[in-house]
Amino acid sequence: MNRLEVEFLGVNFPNPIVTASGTFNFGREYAHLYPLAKLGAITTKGVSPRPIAGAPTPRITETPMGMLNAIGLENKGVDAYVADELPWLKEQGARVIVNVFGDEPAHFAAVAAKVSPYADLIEVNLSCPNVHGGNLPFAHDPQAAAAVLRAVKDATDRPVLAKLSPNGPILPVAAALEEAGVDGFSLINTLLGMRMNLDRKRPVLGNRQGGLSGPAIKPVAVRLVYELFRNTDLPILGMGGVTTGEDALELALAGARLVAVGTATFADPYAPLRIAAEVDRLLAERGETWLDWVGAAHTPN
Amino acid sequence: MTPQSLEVNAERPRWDDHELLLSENRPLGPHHLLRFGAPTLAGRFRPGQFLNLSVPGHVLRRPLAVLRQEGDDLELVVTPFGPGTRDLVNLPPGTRLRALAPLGNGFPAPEGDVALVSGGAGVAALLMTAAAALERGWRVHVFHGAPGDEDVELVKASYGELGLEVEYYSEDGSYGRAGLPTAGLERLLADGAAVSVYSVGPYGLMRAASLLALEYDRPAYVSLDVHMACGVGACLSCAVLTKSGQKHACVDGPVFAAEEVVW
Repeated sequence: MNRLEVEFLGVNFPNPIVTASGTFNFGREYAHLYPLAKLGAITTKGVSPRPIAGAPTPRITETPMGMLNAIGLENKGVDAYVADELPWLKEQGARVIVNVFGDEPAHFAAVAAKVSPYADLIEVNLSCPNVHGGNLPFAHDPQAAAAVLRAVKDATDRPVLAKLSPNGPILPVAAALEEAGVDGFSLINTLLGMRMNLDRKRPVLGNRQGGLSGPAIKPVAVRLVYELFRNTDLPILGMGGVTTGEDALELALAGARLVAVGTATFADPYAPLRIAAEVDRLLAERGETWLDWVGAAHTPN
Repeated sequence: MTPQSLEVNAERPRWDDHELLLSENRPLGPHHLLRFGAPTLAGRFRPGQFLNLSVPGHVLRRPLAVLRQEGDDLELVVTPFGPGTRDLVNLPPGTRLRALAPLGNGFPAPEGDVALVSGGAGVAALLMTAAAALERGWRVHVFHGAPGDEDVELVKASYGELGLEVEYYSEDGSYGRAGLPTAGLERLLADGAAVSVYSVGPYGLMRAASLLALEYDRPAYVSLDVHMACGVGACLSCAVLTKSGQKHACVDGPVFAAEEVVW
């Protein structure tokens, strides 16, 4: 029996462990290690309408049980990925979640339309700045986030996930997105942070601030997935610092139906498969399935 | 640019996650020479390639050049710099670590006499090129620089083992010649030596050595040390601006032709 099988917005996943956006590129770098189809899914690096060069270096630095990154959304632009990477990725038999972003609703929609033939799901990155709306991230403004979501929904027939930011209010944004027709949520994106270089007396990162990820943020992820699950019936892709099978099960209990692994893959390219195997073993010991655990922390005693 | 696929780029080695057993941890002044048993990596490194080494208790691995490989053993030079490298140099023999390897492109094989210009642990990325040049019968000029005399033991344990004479420069004049190693390189180039220049060390040193080589119309190569997380082309942390666009040090480098880099 397959204890790990899970259906999510009409797509069947052989296991619930997927890669997180920006930590696996488009999969090519890891394709010689194992068949990419063995992963629950691959979430691609964020794709924008035009190429973006990214932030100045250093772009990453380690922190206690975590890391800060400010890659600056470097990517080749949607046309390059539709030409090279996405068709190849689908040929590998992998399930694909394409992460899309832009600087105004129409740009998100244009990317979503172009990647849809290769996407099982679309994940909308709302953490980028709304350049026509005071440069606040869309994710911090319920109405701006909803406008993006409506534009993307009009542009694609694929289910659409909204990726939520822990740096602003989650529940009002989620409510506005639900009203706008979102199909599910993914969370959490990174927490904004900073580290100083004592010799230079300046921030370490070229971009000054960056996104904190890794085990340090796992409790924040568990809390926010838990809170969101209490306030929505839509399915949740949970992530934040997952490094072990136990971590994945914590997020499942909080309400995550799928779980993404990100920073852990940098240290261990086999991490998503190892974590899926650990979950399988933990469930086998208990004679339970993944779905027995999804949201189970919310059931009455 | 997203790095080319493994299928397209046959030059790129097939890396994997390998186990390393620390057998020796020897201080060399402020640096440490770490020797590992790594049978699955025997003979796998080309000069200038690197590995991405796990550090117990740390979230990210550390990219390090391979100083030497002998049979099943390989050696690294680690200079304690931040929390990760400080923990690395305190590991006792018997510790098992993991390494993604072999990574990066490495230096082109020398096709004539070479000049090596190094600073600090940059020696590690150059030593295999020095050995390859000696094997082919080419002359190897070595210019090493440090703030003071702290690199003397490192230089002896590396270049010294190959029988190479090192022109050592200290900024404070405490050992060897006072000044910067690029002074030695400039003298050599001005004498008309037909050398290729290989430089690894602090950015300023590599830049100065490269600009000198270009001025004298000699080929030059550097190994750029840019903060990286994955080491394999996925995280896009280690961006390098080149004349043919943005590249990434982990897969397009770490070795770049000096004339390609936008200094």
